Amino acid sequence: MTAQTQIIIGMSTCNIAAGAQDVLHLIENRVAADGLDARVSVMGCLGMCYCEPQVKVIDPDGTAHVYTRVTPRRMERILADHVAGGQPRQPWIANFREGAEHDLMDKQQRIVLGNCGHVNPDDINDYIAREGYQALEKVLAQNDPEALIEEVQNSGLRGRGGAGFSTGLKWRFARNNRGDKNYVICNADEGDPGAFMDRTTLESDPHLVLEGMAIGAFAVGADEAYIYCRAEYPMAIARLERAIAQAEERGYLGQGILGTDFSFRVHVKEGAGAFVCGEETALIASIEGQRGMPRSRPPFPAEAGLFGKPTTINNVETWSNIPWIVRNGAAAFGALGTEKSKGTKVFALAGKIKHGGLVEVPMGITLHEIIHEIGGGTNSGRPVKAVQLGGPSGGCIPAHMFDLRIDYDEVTRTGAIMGSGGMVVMDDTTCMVDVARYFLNFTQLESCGKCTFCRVGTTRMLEILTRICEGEGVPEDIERLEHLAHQVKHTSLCGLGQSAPNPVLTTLRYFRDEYEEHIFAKHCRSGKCRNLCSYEITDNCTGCLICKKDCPVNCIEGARKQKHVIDQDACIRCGVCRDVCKFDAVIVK
Amino acid sequence: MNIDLTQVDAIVARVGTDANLTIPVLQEVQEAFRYIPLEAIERIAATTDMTESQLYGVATFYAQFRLAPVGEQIIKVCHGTACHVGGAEGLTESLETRLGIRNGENTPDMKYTLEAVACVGCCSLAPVVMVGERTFGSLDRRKAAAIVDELEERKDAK
Amino acid sequence: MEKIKFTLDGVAREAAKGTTILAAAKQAGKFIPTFCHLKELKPFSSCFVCVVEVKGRANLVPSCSTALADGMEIVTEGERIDQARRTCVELLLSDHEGDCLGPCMVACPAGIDIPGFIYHIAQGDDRAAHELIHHNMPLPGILGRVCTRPCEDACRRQLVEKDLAICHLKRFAADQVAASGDEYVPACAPDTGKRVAIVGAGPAGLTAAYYLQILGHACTVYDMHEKSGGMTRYGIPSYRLPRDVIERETDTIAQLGASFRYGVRMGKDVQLAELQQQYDAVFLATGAQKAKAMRVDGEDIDGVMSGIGFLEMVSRDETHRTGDVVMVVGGGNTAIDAARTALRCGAKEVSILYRRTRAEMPALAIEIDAADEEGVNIDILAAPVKIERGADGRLHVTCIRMELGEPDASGRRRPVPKPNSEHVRVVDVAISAIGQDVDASVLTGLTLTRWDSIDADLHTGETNLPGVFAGGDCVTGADIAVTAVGAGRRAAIAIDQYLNGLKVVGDVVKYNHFMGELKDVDRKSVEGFAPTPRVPMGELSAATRTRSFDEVEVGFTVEEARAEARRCMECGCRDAHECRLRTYASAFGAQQHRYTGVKRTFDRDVSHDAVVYEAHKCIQCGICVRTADELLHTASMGFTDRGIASRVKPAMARPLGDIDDTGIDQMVDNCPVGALTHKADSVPTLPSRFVRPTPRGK
Repeated sequence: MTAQTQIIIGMSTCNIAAGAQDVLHLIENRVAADGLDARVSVMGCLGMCYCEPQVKVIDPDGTAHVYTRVTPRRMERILADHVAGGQPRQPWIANFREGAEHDLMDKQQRIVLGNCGHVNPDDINDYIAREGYQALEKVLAQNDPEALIEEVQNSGLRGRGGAGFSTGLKWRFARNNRGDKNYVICNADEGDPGAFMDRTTLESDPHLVLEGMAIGAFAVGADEAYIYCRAEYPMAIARLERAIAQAEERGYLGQGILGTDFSFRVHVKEGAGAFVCGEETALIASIEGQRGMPRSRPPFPAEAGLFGKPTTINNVETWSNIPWIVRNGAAAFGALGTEKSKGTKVFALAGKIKHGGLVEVPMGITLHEIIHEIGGGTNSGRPVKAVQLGGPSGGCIPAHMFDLRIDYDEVTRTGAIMGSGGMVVMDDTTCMVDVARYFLNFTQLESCGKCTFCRVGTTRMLEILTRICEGEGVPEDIERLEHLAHQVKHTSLCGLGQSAPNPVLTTLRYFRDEYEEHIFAKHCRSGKCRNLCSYEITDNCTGCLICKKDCPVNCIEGARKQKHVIDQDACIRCGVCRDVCKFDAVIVK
Repeated sequence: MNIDLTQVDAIVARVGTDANLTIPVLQEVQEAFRYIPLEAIERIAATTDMTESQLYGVATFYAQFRLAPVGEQIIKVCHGTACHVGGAEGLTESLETRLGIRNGENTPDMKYTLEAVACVGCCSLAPVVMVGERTFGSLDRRKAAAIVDELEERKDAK
Repeated sequence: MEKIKFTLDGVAREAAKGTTILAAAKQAGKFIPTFCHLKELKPFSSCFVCVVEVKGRANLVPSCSTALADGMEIVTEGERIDQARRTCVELLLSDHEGDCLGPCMVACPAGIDIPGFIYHIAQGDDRAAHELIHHNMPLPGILGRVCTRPCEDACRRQLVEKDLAICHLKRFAADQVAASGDEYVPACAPDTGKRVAIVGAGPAGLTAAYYLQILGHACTVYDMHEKSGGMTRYGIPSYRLPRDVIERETDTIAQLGASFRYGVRMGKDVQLAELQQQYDAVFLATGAQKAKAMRVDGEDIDGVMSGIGFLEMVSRDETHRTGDVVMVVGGGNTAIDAARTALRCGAKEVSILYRRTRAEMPALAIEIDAADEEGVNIDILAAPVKIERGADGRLHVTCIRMELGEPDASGRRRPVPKPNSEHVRVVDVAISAIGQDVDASVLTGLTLTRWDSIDADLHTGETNLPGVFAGGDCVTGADIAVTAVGAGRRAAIAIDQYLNGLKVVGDVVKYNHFMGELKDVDRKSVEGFAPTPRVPMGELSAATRTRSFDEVEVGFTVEEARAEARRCMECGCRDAHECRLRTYASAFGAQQHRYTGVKRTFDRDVSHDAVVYEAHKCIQCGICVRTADELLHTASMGFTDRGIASRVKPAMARPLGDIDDTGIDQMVDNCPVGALTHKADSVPTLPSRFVRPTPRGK
């Protein structure tokens, strides 16, 4: 191949949301119009979503430069100076292994995200060039499903979706129960608000999941698979479908794979918007064309799953670990992490965080390392108050517990769960009662409505929380809420209901004083609950007019260089003034 | 309302008649009509193995499906966790004021529908609003309302 | 067949592989509640009331869908399970709308099956109505005339136009049966050999005697008067309650075997201790006989008498002539009765003095109106302060004007004297009718309350003395007759338990779901009822009636009764008797309002010819959906929406009348609550321990 400059632009949902499409248009137009000697291609997400769009320019000598926050205007300069002129625009280049951002990559260990940003997700050759499908070849060559399952079991890999069940064991059940027809399913119904690991993985490296699934199917004796993906992820679906077509063409999927008698067909099934379909029995119902209502287990899907046949379900991240384990061996995987939690975990860092995006870290790392060293602390400059782990099924861990090591059992002990890996950072402008209400509102809306405790119980809990946030809370509410939370947790049909109380229970555990403050003092310290606070401007005010200009109801009075005053009667307590004030002059009373 | 049932028949012919195909069939129907007319469900039930109860139950279960027409543009305000923490409620309020409708409603001229949606997965840009394929990130109340201005301008330009 | 070994509540057992915990528990004779499970259908596990503990599992598990596994240790009872089941039921109740029983029936202190008996009258079966009334109340002729009708106040028909004439209908049925010459005398259980003394032949005593006789216990009823009826005879004039009605209903009780001993005064002629010795049980129903004092100077002088004293005198001698000018003090029914009686005893001028306003008068509005019509002068906001015998030989009553001040403890505005408004009125007779007190001091050994009434359990009538029960006014203080009837009936049940050596728990009170007071009730619940005016009761003209003690209200004609009965909306649930939600709510002591929040809106679908679907009662068990699906293969019902908004609806949310209704009867039969019911099944009669319920409908 002749040495040519490569321009690779991040074209993941997050990059596009940040404006990558316009940049791509510009690149294509310019390269064609100016006759630049450059090959243009795309990549997925590097994980550093906070500084997208990103464009990687690889010089003919192989040196790679990652440009961040690229706008079309910047891109013009990059094309002119760097691609055409050979002079990289240094200030715009991020080197994630140097300087202040050193920890961002060095604390990470990428097994699942290893190819993200390094392969063109639409080109199977890129994947193959990076050891892709070697694991499948190896497994088929060895032709020993039992040994394969043994290997996965020995690796200590646990399901990355929720409860953390041993993947190897799950496969063994399925293999032992296998019948004339068996299925594997990839759960890509990433419904947790605040989680986007699966989307990024599928968009950036779809073949990895396919390879993992093919290996799993071979192990359990399945010949057909469904990837159940959220309809909200059209790009992931499109890339998956392209990847399946390419893999079939190259003999990695389809009839008689790699010349063996192992056949494996993969279908992509679009979800239609129901968080409960992350629950495996509901997911199966959904693929079967029914309402996503879970059923009681046992029987487990490994005995009677899709269309009544033995079915193995794992989520995107779990499947994505498989090729690495097969290539590197159970021991290498087991060397990472803690005693009972092996390997790495991908987290989606979001909320009030400086370096928001995806991180993949070895198990056993502390929350502090993730949030402060990798994540860089809050983007607001305010102190971190808590981190929400595991989405609506998880819980809020207060900042003083950030020496907690990431490990299934350690996290569970706090009342949160590892979950799929959503990690939402909150600063002191976040009201913890409101957060509990927010999550319960989510689960209440997403409850399928089948079982009594989840359907009615979460509704009654939500009503209590809403009451508290609106200043109508009564002293008995805390006890009533706690009682109901325990009842719902222990007497619901599926994981959704059983874990729905977790955000409530953890906030009650770690932030009970805020509940009491809402009920007894009728006060919300964070300024979130509008009936329970007021905003005031202190003497710090310099009279800069910014808050006055941004106030949506024009209730701030004051001339330039004079202290501003909020008209309390007109104020809607939206907090915009506090957010925009550069002098910390707006406080919550 | 009378709808073109041949379109429905064509979808069934393309997707299939098995009872497990409710979701893809309804998705295509919604794609074609921008909502799911009840007549379409009746037609599907009459021509496939899917029953009316099943189709109607599925259509009302999943958030994606709509049984009533929507505006030309759906303005989706993400209410994922990161967006919530970042002030998504304020965006919805601001858009409600700008459009003169409540969340979940259509403007009387059927140009816009305002919809609060679950996480769209752009958490690092929170809070975000999606209109069609476009994502608007790092918004505040003012910027959210300005999206409508921009959409209006585009229309005028056309 | 492969066997599974497991333990159930600590007992080792075996069952065939594939057996569910629920089935295994049933085989072992253990009770596990369930709403959503039906053995003909596949397990579904939606209700979660069937949860049990399985050792090693953190969560409770639904027994209906969990198959036994080897070595499983199952616990089916205990506090954790009770609490979960009760919470389950209470959560369902918080999202359930409707009335188990008609609000009229709930309001009735005797608990008469009002929608039931009215149904019979509407159907033309007055005898069935009469018998049904007797399940709860053996004095319909009496109460049908004098009851103050709490039932009518609660009547939901007021949301359409006006409450139903329940009381008149009750009287109608009794009168019809009486007119037939074939009195209703229920069958009694064989003689138990037990003997019960009943003190007081008023409504409470008569009622207790009636039910105790039916249960086979021999009753002797003592009364200090010469005849039965108590306050209904001696406190209510015959123009309201003809005496033959009292005789008729007392006779029935005598025919059941009760004996009556009149003119026997407690404490004087007989002591409580003697009765305790001679009888296996004693029921005290001595009433509230002592007139309250006005605490006015001169109230004890000749010519001043109490309302009940006056009424009792007249009831013995209706030819009694009173003076020309009569003043009655008080605002209750006794005051009105005394005033109207005085007119009939020749008084030319009768006035009622009441210290508050007409709106606060405790007497029934229709009674006040009747007094008005008859020419009684109702003088409000006035009270006596002194009574003297004047030089003219007449009574000089010094009165004072009142005005209303702040509300008092009863919520009524307190009357306060208006300064310098004293004035003197000259009358021949002054009657004080401001209420009665209990005087139970002669009943030695009994614990009394600080009001000198008997301290007895309001539900069972038990007193501090074993075997001695009490009920009626002597316990509650002066109250309305129907309350005393209720107390008499409940005491009979408790006494029967006592005589049989059982734990005395009294009548079983089942859970009752209640839509709320009239103002809170969803008006949708009365949609479809065309306004139809209440049938007025015919009465003698004011001019005629004051000349005699003839009964003023003439009673409904047959046509009037049928028309009025047809106005009944049959509130209450068709499934009240069999509803599993109600059964479990009763069994687990569930409360309707432990969890509150947004309720289901009333949603009644009557489009089908034979079946009613009330979505507001549905508990989402899915049995109808699965019956349609798995057994009938019609898919005529389905789930819609999700979460708290999810509902069970006919296909495509069509009206029930528009769906394929193949096998709909089976769906109705399988529904564990009253969501799907047959139209033909009218509100059911209550099962009675006293009389076999008369089957109705179909």
